[in-house]
Amino acid sequence: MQTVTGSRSPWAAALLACSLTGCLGPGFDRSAMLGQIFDTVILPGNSALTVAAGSLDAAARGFARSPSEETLAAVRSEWYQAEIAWKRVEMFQFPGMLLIHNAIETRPARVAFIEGLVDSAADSTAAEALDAATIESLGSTSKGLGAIEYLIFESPEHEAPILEAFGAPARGDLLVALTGNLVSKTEELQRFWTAEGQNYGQTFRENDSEGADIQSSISLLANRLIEMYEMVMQRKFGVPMGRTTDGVPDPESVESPLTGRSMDLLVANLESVLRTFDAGLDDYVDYLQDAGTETSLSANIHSQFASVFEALDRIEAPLEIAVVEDSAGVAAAYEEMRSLLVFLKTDMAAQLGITVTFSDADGD
Amino acid sequence: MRAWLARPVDPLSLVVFRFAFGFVLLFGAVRFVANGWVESQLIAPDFHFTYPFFSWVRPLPGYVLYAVFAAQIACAALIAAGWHYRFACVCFFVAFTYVELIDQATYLNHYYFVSLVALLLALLPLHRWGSIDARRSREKAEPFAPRWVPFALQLQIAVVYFFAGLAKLNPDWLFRAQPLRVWLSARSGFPLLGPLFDQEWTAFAMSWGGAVFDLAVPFLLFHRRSRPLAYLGVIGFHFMTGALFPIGIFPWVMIAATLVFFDGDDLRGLGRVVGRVAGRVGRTPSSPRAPTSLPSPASRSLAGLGLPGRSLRFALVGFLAIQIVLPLRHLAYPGPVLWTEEGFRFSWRVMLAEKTGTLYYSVTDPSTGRSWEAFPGAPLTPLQTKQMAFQPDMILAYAHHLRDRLAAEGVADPQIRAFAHVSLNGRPSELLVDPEVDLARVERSLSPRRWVLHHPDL
Repeated sequence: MQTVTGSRSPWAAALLACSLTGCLGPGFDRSAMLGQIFDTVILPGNSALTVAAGSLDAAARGFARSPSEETLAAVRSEWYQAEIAWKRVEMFQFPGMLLIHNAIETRPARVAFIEGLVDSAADSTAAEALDAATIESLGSTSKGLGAIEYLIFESPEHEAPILEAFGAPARGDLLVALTGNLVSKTEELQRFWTAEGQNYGQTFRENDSEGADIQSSISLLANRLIEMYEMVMQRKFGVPMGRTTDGVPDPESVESPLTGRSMDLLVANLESVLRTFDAGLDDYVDYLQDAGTETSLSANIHSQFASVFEALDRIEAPLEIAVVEDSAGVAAAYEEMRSLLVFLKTDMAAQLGITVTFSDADGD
Repeated sequence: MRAWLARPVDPLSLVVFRFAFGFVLLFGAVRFVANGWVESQLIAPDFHFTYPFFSWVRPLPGYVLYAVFAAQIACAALIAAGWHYRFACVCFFVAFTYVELIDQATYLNHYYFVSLVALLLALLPLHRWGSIDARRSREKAEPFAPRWVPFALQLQIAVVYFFAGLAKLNPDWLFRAQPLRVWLSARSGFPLLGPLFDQEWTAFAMSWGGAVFDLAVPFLLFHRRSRPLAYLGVIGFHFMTGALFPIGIFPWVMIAATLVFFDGDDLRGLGRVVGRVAGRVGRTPSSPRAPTSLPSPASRSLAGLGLPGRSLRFALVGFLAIQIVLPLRHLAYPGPVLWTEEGFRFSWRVMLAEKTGTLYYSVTDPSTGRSWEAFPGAPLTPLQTKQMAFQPDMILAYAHHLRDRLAAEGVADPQIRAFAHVSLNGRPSELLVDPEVDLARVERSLSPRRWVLHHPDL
């Protein structure tokens, strides 16, 4: 990607031999790297999410109009596509985006509140109870992908089977109101990044000046990447297997307990981390490494990512079953993930010269 | 020597020092409160990393802590004005040092420097010149200062620079230009100079230049002829490091403190130059009138101060001796101090190590045989989490905290092993602590830590 040859001559000779400009190697174009990450990962990811949310909304309308096995399968399939698309951009939560991100997905869903919404919609005319403003004003645990999942997948909290429950129109009205809100939230997120809205993509690209400044894009991005990775390893994987709690597996704590697809979701998260790394951070960490280092850090990170994905691939059962029945396979995958954590959180961060975890205190 | 120390000198530099230093202390305390750090660093955490011998220092309730900072601000103002000076110095020293002792995660060399100078000020009679105290009491007013008073402050500053320079004479700093290479390359968007920071030779030039500067500047400041140039160097050096790195008030502390090296005439000259530049001839508000002539050494007894008394002399020599021993104590420990951190603090090892770490603990409940991992995180502060990842004593302290917390939850005698993967100055990460050692059974002590692993490349 970028040329990575810096001046490697000994300093004394360099000082004497070159004029100032003669000594300036090409350096590394950080802004170009950030632009590449934005153009090839963030922007297409957001577009894909908006499209997927639109498809989910259409399928939800179809299902609400005529609940059947087919329309239910269609809405579930579109939900899954939207959820995977979301997992691929979930890590890009930059300043100002927290509320939008929360509205798209905050787990676990508040099922009692959601059932209350259905009841109140049944008691009044749906148009009043579930208009866009009402959904907008709901807390994030009562809407978004998690709440939609609760409505369309079998849950112990449901009183009747899904198709039967959707026989009452209020439930369908709520589903459609929620998918409609999801569409508007994904569009809002897309606008946040582009010139139609806050144009954060421009800020992201240009704010490359001070890597150690906690507000700079490289620092924010690396921190988000590491936080996402830690979230996957410690929360989404480590907690169900009991490894990061008290040693006792807790299958119900998987991210998406009703669908059996939790593993796919965390793999999508990990793929977004890898894609971001591949879109330019890999060249940048190699550029920053000492000349003469035997193996490049990016090569180590790539091969460890491969080991992580292989180990996860070998787990065949859904995560909530595997944590109980395939503890050896799950443990092996965890060990691989932990090795990758060290590469990202220690070695990569050390090269980037960034401070992992935000703290605005002084240093010395 | 005795005669030299007792020689009367123009006290203007002491007045300027007291005023400037008091002002910086005041500014520092206000800044700490304004940044919300009293809440985020002192009140919010439910666990604090205490210092050896000072584990009894605990954060007071929030409103008392704010009162402590109010006391710091008030005392700093009193020091600057020279009003109730001794009381203000002692009070500031206690209030400031108390806050610094609450948590090792907040340790900074310049905070340590401020504590030391506050204690030194409490021992020195800086209220006798250009102060409200001196105005209110004829007894205290003195036209001249004995040489030992500024000399004590000058030695204190010289110790800081010299040991900071000595600490830079290590292979990473000199032959790998680390950690400056990592830091500078992360700042290549810096105005004008940015592109230079991407160059390896810039990091080498700044590393060697920094080492030479630190080692030479105390001597250059002591000599009158080299002093103006050395002070320009001090200003340039600290402005540069202050612009590049998040080091808070440190540049201002040192720029203010080094003023104590100047003679009264130099300062008046400097004041005139500054005044002319600013379009007006001014003088430091609290500066006393210039003495018409200095008394001869023979008449120094007239100055009323002479040499310090026996106990003060003893205290000052002890104060200095401790500061020469502390930065060298790492020699009593095996392994490189940058890695083991044994003897790292209180040694002026400033900007020497870029460390990042990933830390987790493996916990085993012997009664059930179950094992799991504990990742330090909230409710620890980000600063605590960052610092503890590469500092063995903090890793041990948190292991003990985990042990005690688990015991309270009913897990008797848990085994706690630490996995700390640490990168020093851009090297690949290595384990810092022996993961075979059950830290729940390791006592905290100052003896060499056998459970800290040696770095294979150091």
